[in-house]
Amino acid sequence: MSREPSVDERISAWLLEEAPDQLPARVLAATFERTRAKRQGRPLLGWTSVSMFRTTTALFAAGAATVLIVVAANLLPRANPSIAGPSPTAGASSSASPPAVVGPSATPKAEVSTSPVAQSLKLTWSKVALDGHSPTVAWLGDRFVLVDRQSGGVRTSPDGASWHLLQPGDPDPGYAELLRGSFATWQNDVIGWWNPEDGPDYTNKPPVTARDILRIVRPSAAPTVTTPFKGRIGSIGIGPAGIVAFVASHVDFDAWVASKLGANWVSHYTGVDFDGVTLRIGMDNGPGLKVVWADEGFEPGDYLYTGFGWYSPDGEQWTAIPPDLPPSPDGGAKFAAGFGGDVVGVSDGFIARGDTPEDTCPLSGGCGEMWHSADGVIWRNLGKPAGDSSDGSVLLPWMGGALVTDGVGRFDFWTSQGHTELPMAAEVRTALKQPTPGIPNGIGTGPLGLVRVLKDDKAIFVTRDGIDWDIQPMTAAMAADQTSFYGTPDVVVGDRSVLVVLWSGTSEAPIPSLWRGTLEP
Amino acid sequence: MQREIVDAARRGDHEAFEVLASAAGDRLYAIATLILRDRQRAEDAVQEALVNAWRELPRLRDPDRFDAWLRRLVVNACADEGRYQRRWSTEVRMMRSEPTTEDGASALADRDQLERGFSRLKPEQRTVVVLHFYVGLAVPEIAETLGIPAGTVKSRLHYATASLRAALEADARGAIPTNEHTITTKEHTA
Repeated sequence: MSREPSVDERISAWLLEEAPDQLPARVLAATFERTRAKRQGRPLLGWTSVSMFRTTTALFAAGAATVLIVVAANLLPRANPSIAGPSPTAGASSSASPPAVVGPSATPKAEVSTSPVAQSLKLTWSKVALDGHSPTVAWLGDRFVLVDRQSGGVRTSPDGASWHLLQPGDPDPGYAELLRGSFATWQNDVIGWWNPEDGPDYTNKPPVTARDILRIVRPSAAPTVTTPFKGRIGSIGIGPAGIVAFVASHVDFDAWVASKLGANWVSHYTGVDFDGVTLRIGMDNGPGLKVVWADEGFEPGDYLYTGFGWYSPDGEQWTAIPPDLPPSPDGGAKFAAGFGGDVVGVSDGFIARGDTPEDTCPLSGGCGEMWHSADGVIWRNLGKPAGDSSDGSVLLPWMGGALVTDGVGRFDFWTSQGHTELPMAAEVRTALKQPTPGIPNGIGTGPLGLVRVLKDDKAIFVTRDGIDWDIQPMTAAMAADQTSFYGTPDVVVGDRSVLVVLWSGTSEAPIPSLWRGTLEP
Repeated sequence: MQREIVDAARRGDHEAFEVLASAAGDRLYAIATLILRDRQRAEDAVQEALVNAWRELPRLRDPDRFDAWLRRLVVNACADEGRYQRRWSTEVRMMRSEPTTEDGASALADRDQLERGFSRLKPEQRTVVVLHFYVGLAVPEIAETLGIPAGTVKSRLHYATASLRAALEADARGAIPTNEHTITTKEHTA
């Protein structure tokens, strides 16, 4: 007796049947006509030819004197961070405007400073014994926390060298839950989120997925809060102004229509239109339906592709960010949080990279424009991220502002006042640029600075302040531990040292290893 | 063997590159066609991907990654096609051939429902469906290919699969709906 094929098998069979067999010969002919007339790009330089390259303060002064970011690592007191940001009109290299200094709750003010005395950026690496195969590492306030997601074991360390296995009775704000899924931090505040449905089987879900669970540790607002959220979270920013969450919940409209009207109606609905309160479902065989969204237990963010966000001062009371804000006065795009967008807390509010409602997110990652909000609810357009592609790009909190990288070598520092490109020598960037964007690489920011691990180049970028950079090769032993094509290094930056989780093995059986980098005296 | 050919192509050997491109062309075309739902645009995407591959090949560090790298290029080229189009059409239907399986009627019903469900998906959802169910990539591999978090891949895959499942189940449940529906608590739109 033959078995009924599963849905997955039916989808696979259909795709196989739908796929064309052969690329027309004329396409290859036209392609080769072009390639024969086109020269190849230059091969990459090996990292050895640029190893230990460093943009010294002197070089910076001579060649990039107009770059505006001037930050000293020792100007980063944890309790009251003071960071230097770009001029409101700052370009990457062509403005004489002084930098703005942004305080945690004050309007940024202009201030001229000089580069700090250069300090060693050379990291010395050593391997750290690792228990378990599912490590999550974070820098939380004043310590590294290492959680093994399989065993639930928690270790803490002030420096990444000496570790304490958490015992019953030890102070524990719920590290295992905080780091169970995704998390965001601001100084001593931590917010973690995960979904109880997350697991290997992600295809048999009800129309509305289970709500994410939030766990929030804010020392000034103890006790720890654990609460269901209003949907599935795409990104969270936490800072002195509170918490902003972008949601990316998905309602399966086919399944939902089927549950309300019967399965046969699924093929007759022609589309949905959502205005923030009601949902209108068009039908090709009769009048449509008008549904009051909240009556069905849905949250606004459950509607895909409009994007949605929430603001909370404390993680308990949440205010909806109005979707589809009118165009900003400077003619910028409308803001849509949510799908494809991400957000970080900064010293004077939040900086987000949000999609625009008219656009679909490109296949390969982030999209949209940069935005700032002082209160988490009203957002102001800051402009587009530099570069023509955001593939592989990441948005990170750093020095009270936000850092955007293009996934390779470019780093743009954003504040409420605008942005500027961190000085990186063009030849270094070119030499280390990988074949295509979209290859994730490890990056981490923290009190010590910024560390980026390029797994294909086997190189490590280090900077304390965005001005002086050091590029060093991985040691041979480190390179041997980062052989997995699909494993992205996890980089966690503390105040005195850096931890990096490298990956070898296969995608089915990844093997992690933990490395600790410390600054040479 | 392929490694040697890739090495030769990296050094500028046109013939070696053409051997590689010819070998990969059908597979890339299938992926692009399934994602874009349009053969003409799929042809353009494959051509762009292959031209990019030729130009960037010297920068490919590991020849053993050639196939995965090429797949990434064609997916990116599909994304570019989508950007040029502004929005990806959901009306374009694939040309279908007659069923060839023994259970032709059932396969045809599946096809109709899956085609309808698939055409409703957003392009990024189609992409993960194609990479997962056609190419056979696991979630981490798709995440790496697209440069997005694994959670996003899961989310897109979940939504897409659920939509396709609902489309199939709708067909399985039978009767054609009438113009009268039974919801009484909701207001009809005008």
